Amino acid sequence: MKWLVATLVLLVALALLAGEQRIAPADLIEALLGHPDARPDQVFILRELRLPRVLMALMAGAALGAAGTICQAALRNPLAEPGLIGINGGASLAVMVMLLALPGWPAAWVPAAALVGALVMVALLQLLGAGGGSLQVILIGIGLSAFCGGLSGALAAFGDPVALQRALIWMAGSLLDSRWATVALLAGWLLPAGLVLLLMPHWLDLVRLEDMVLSGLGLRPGPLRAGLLLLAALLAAAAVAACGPIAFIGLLAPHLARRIAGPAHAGLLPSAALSGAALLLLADTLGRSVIAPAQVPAGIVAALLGTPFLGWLIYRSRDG
Amino acid sequence: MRLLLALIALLVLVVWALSIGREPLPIGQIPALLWTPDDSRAALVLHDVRLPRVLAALAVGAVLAPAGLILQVVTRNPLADPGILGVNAGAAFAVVLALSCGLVAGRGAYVALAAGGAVLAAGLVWLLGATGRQGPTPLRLTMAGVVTGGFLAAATAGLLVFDARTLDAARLWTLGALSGLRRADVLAVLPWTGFGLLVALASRRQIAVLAMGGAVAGALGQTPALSWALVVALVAGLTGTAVALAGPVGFVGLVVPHALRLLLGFGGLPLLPASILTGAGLVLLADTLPRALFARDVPVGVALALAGAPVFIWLAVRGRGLAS
Repeated sequence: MKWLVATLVLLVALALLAGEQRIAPADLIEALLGHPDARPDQVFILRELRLPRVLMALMAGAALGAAGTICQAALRNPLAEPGLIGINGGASLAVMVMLLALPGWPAAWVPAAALVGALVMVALLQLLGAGGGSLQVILIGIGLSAFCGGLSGALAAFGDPVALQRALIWMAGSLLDSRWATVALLAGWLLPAGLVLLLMPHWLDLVRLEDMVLSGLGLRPGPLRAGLLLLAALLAAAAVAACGPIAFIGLLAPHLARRIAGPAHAGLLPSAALSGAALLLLADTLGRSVIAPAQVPAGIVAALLGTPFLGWLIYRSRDG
Repeated sequence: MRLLLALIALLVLVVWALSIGREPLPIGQIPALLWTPDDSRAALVLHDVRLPRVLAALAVGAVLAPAGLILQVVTRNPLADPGILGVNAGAAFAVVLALSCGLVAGRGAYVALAAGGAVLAAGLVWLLGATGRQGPTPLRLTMAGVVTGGFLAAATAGLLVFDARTLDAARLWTLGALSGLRRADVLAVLPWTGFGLLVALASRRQIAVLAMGGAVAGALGQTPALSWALVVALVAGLTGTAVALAGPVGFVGLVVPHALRLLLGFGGLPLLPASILTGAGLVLLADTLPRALFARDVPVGVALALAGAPVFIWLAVRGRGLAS
């Protein structure tokens, strides 16, 4: 955990320094504190462009990491992830509907739309997967994800070109649109979820047991799992609303965290949130500085980093 | 007899599809204009715009449906499909990579590239999802396909971020679309389509034996490794010709075999000829229907995902013990 925090601090410093306009470490502190000697252009770049972007990446990454941890525990499957089982797909479809079919609605409604989409998806998963195992829920989620993708594509084909341009940038999963206003919006959504999360480690440890054991303990496994998935949907929807559908962070973060903090959720959950924050920040920083001035959306970098790891996980389980 | 009826239905569908478009073209005139083109604008539209598009739709469906059927049979996995298993994404990645390096001239070259990319993706999926003691269970194979496809799609999107020129050329194509195909493009690919289908029909026996499992296939005198190589090359080649025309189009290979099995009451390789005709009809319908109903050009990959994803979900819901 110590190492994780240290890495995160290092990454934040790196993210503030790197970019199209390099900033010297010595100037960083001056500009951030608003020292009178600081160059005004650097103050503007740091305060209005990079700082909100870093904060967005940290919050969205942490939300995705926590959501992934919850999904993996609730579905009892190490490969579960909000992106894979369609929660991100539902959220982004709802946002597409709002941006394309209901233009003129204020941007403050975007997180609400994403949440509705994510909740509908969780409800569908529960409805269709009832009685089946968690493996089946994942397959159903893959199908629902593809269906949402198809609907989003159809909306794009019918959409008004100007609104479509906005929607497509958002769809790529990028942190391009990070302003203090969006940071505040995301924080407002994540705060209550984060408070609920503090109560969760105990339940998450329990829910990894088999249904029969849970019943024996006097708990009702169905509602318990559904409730936890709802919490995961809330977290994932907030992240999707802020920076578009970003896959694989929610999968990667819990696995990293498990190596650092072990399987008990009291340590796992915060480690996963920190790892998610670090991963998304890394993906975004790489995407915007490696081939600057071109920007690769963080979603693409995250997929390029995350899929080889997931492939390795599948390969490693081949004899299991 | 059934095949004959299907062929007639397909012909009717083709004539109808030729009449749909921005310029109204009475169905009655179409057969005459097809055989004896005159100098009229209608003949020009028919021969240079609509006919290539209809032929491309037929060719795409005709190869993707049998590719899906063969994959389902040999992996004994009802959820197999070139799109879901990431084979399409591999083909598309290879083409976009070559395009952005400026290496490609003409659609004919797309076929070889796309087939090469498809072979690589199929090999990767097989390595991840089908080796080991468990073998190719539906869940592991599907996950391996989704992961491989996700990686290759992200790599394709990353390439397109660098290269605005290729993006313009390839944006619609990466969604799976048939608009903007020229007659020369289609004619360059069609021979490969025909060749792939002939090989598929001719190697039905080998595929059927292979599907019985390595031990049985060996006992029947087959070299399993050789047969696997044949099947992978065949599926990749079929997929490659489709991707060369329309980009990565998913779900045809999933939907058609299951629909036919429900309709005809039997499954497996005997469906191969029927799946060719049905796949051709399905893609043509998916490409034409949105234009006929809403006068909008919806990318055919999108239309097929809308039709195909519910089938995938239905299969996953129904197969209670499937994912174990």
